[in-house]
Parts: sequence; structure tokens; C-alpha cells
Amino acid sequence: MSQSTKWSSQKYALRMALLAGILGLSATFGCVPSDSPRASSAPATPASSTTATPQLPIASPLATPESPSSSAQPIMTAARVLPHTWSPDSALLAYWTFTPDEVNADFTYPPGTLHFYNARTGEQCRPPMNAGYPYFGRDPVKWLPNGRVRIHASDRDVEWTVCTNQFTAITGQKGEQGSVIGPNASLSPNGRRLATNSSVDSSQARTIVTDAQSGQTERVIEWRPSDGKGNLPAPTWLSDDAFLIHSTLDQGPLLVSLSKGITRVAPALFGVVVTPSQGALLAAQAATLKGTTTYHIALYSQGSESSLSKVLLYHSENDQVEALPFARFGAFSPDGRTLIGYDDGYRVWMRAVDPVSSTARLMATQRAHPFPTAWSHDGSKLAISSSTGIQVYSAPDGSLIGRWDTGDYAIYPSSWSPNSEFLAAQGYIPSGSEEALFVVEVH
Amino acid sequence: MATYYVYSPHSGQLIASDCYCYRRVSPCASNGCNSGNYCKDSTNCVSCGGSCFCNTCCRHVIVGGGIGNCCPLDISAASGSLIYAYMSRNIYSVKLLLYTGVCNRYTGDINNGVTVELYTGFNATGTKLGSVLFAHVSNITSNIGNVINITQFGNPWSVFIGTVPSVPGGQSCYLSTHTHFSAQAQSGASLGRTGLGCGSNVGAASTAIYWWNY
Repeated sequence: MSQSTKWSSQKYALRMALLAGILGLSATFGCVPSDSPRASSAPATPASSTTATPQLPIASPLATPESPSSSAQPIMTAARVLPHTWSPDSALLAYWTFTPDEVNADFTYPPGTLHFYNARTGEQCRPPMNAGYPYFGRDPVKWLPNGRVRIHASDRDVEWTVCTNQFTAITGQKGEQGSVIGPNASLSPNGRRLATNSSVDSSQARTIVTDAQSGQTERVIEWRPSDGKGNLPAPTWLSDDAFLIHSTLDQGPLLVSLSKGITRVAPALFGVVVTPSQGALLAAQAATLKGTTTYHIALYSQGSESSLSKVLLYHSENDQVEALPFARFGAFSPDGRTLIGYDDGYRVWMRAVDPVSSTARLMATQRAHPFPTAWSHDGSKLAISSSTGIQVYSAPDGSLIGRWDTGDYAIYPSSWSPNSEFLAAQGYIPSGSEEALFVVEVH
Repeated sequence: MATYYVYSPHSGQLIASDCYCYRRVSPCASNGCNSGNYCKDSTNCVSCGGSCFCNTCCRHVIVGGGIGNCCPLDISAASGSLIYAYMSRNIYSVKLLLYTGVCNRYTGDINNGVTVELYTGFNATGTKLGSVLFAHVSNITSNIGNVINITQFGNPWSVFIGTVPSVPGGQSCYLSTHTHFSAQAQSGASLGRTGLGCGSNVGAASTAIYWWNY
């Protein structure tokens, strides 16, 4: 027996052992009290005021925050746990669990079991009808303004007051949820235009700009898609007139102005030539500084060989370009004030976007590269996966807000509540036998 | 002319080659496979209102297609499974390179891969046959950037690549635990890929998945 086969067999035994526990949980229907304590915030300790210079990205004493951690307990364990979305009032989290049998055949896209968790009360419950996990297309969980949730299953919809017996079956036209903006589309800041990226075939994609009200097509831009898997990323609007197409194979990133035309970002703003045949693809991300018309664009390479040794950052306010002290870009914060990046030493850095040459701060070091992160919706907090659990930092100053020890579980920080009060994190055992859902309260 | 083989890095099932095995796209959908109009095999396509039978191949993205890769392949494996590059003993050395950007819009382990360049001589000399990309990799080998010569024992011989990641929520790039492959041949070499069909079982170190004739 090969080592990997033996490994799989051991895991299968573990999964079968786990099945009994999961069946016990999944037999529950309706409202059940949670006996798992909610994790609370670790006391925040201000980080050292020492900062590393952006020119010398070498580990500093800041690499390991000194704050003591608190222990986080999972609110659910299963063979697989996938957090989904929060209610608008930040109290309720929808998530799915999967049985060991479902995980063993996950390539057939099994439905899983939908759950809800009330982060304020600890209550857990399941809806009156199950809905399959949304691998593709329509999201079966729609939060309603009246505090209820509409759940779409294969044969019908229901509107439900979560964790109560009050639900209403929706039939006919009332069950339609209307158009939903997918992950490949985005609205302009004023909500009047919709830009959608879609594949025509394996070698061609297009961006279609439509009037969000009438649906009338205003503009079609065709380009060759780069070769990443999953949905194409939505265009990023920088104003009501302009948006960024993150990466194209033939032209690099594109800045599209509906009034002025199309700009090839790499040569026009950065003076960089697009050379995909050399083994690297150029990509860009952009963000508008919240409340202003100022935007920034980060240009970086991906693929096997890096044609750019550093991430480049463009400032629209002064037309300046600077080289950041790391090779790989992470993300802008949602408010556009902060960015994170990685260097080849598997370290993650945080930096205020403005002004030019701001000091980058080393957040953490670990083996995964680049490791998963999650910004709060307001851009004020960043959660990262550390070797011992979850760490949450304040942005843009980079001070440590709290950290939580998750024991044997490695973490994907997944989903912030809309008010940035709660963070859902998916835990997994690196050897693969079990996953867990953590919800921590971040003050 | 000789044939040089790379074998499956772990045991599992073949779940995609040029098309995804358990995924179809409706012929009446206006958008392609990256736009959410997926459905399972032989089911009605919910996103089309149930009237459109889904029977069109949902083509598998070729990671690295822009730099000459071809011939995609997915092999399922449990999360945490070890990924090895198993190679025939006439491949004398390999060079390992980090590949980022496996996914369009998600970072983390699933976005990472390792490109293995294959050489007929020691120390990356002789003929460079081509390369194979192992995509979606956790715990990536510390040998990135290094050249590794054939080990004394083992047929096939092997180089550790990493492990199979778990599936994160909230993304559409990596929906089941597997390893994705693509490959390319250098000028003068020809590339072959296994002809096994959907659901076929493959064995670690025993099922040849790519080969190069040179």
C-alpha cells in the first residue's frame, strides 16, 4: 500500500467514526440551543511602535505580536463546514455542513445541509426545508429587509423567520428572486451601470456594460482571458465612468473609460511591457479611496516566473508610481485606504496606501503563501490565518486587535458580519479528517 | 526515441480532462462556464428555468494555457493527501518553480501550484522535455527554485510537491478536493496524456498520466 493510499484509508476510518456524531447533529430539526460557548475577543495589546522600512522586508520583532491569545471553540464540526453569508443585522450566519460520504464524493457536488447560527444568542437551527450548497449560479439564501430569510430549494421557496416555526411557502411568481449580481459583475458607484465579465469560449471573454435600469447594452469590450480557474473577477469601478479589467492575456490589465476609451494599464501608467510568453502574466487590482475620486492601481505578475520583482503602485492623485517592498500583491481594503502584500519569505505586510513611500508593517510570517485573509466590510479590520489560529489587526495602523487559538485547526478566515462585530472562520485539520466552524466576537 | 513518464501523484478518480466530468452547461445559456450557468450531468438546468437540458461540455480551464500549457486533468484525492511527482527513471533531474494565479479571484493555498521541469540529464542538463504543473497545493515543498537529481532508489522515483488543500467556502475555483494538472512539451518532444475516462481509478505512482516522446 502506498503512503498516500494508506493515508486516505486512515482518514476514511476517521471520517466514518465522525459520521455518528454528525448524524446525531443532523437529526435535529428546528431550533436547538447551542452548548458551544461563543468565542470572545482576546484582550488587545498594542503592538510595538517599531516598524520595518519598506526597502528592507526582513523579519522584525513585529513578526510575532506579543498579545496573549484566547481559545476559540468551534460552534460546529463536520466532515466539511462551509460558512456562507450573514444577515444584514449581523446576528445570523448561514452555513453548510457535509457528511463524510458527501465529502468522499465531493466532485459530484453534493447538496450538504443548511444551518443557521445566531451569534448573539448561540442558538443553532435548521430551516424547514433544506437547500443545496450554491456551487454554481443562484444563491439559495436571500436575506430580506424585514429580517426574514428567503430560502430557495429545488421545488419551492419559503420565507422564514430564522429559528422559529414561522415560515411561509412561496409559490409561482412570488418565488422569483429577481436578478442577482454575480461574482463576475459589479455596479458603478451611482448604481446606474452594470459591468459584467463573461467567457465566450476558452480563448475569448467580454465585458458588457449595461444600463442597470433598462438592461440596454452600452458597451462591449472583447479580450483574451487569462487562465485562472473559477469565475472571472468582476470589473472594479473607479468612478461612474471608468473601471478596471484585472487581467487579460493579450493586453494585460485594462482601464476602461466609457467617455475616453480603453487604456492598457501596464505600458500607459507603469511603463511595463506585457510579455505573457515569458511565463508570467500581468494582473492588477484597484480601489478608490472612500469618499474621494482618488484611486490606486497595483500591478503585479503571476505565473511561474515573475517579470516584476516588486509590486508597483499607481497613485492617481499625483500620477506617481512607486515600487512596494514585496513581490506579490494581496488586496486593497474595501475603503481603499490600506493594502496588504506578500514577499517571497512568506510574510504578509500591511501598508497605508497614501502617502507615497508610507512604511509597510510586517504582520505575520508562516509557511503558506500567500495565506488567506479577510477584510471587514468597512476596511477597518483584517483577519489572517496564523499558524496557531486567527489574528485580527486594525487597519491601516496594523496594531493587533486580538488573536484566537484554534487548537489543531488551521483556519480560513471567511466572512465578517456587516458591522464587523463577528468573524466566521472555517477550520480544518491539515491531515484532512475534520472541519469546524468558528465564530469570534471582535471588539 | 524514448518515452518519459509522469505518474499520478496520489490515488483517486479522474474527474476532469478537457471537460469537467460532473458539470455541464446549458445549451440555452447565454453565458459560458465561468458565468454560473452550470448544472450537473443529465439534469435540468435550474438557471434556465428547468426547460433547457444541460448537455454541453463545460470546458476545463487550462491553467498556464497562456504560457503554452495544454491537456488539463483533474484527479480527486482527500484533503491532506500527499502529492508527489512520480517519474520514470530516464528523467534524470527536475527543477521546481512556484506557480501563482491558479485561481481567478481567490488567494491562499488553492491559488498555488508547482511547475516541474523535466530534464534528461543531471543538474537540469541534457534535453528539457517539458513541464507539468501541479495546481492547488498546500504545504508546498521547500525545494522551490531548486534542481533535484534522480534518487538512487525507487521506480518510479519521486519528488515531494505538497498536500491537497481543503475546500474553502465562498469561492468557485476549487469546489472539490483534487489536484489539477496541465503540461507542455519543449520543441522536439511530443506530449501524450492518459486516455482514461471520467470516474476511472488511478493509482499513485502506477498510472501514467503524461508522457513525452523524444
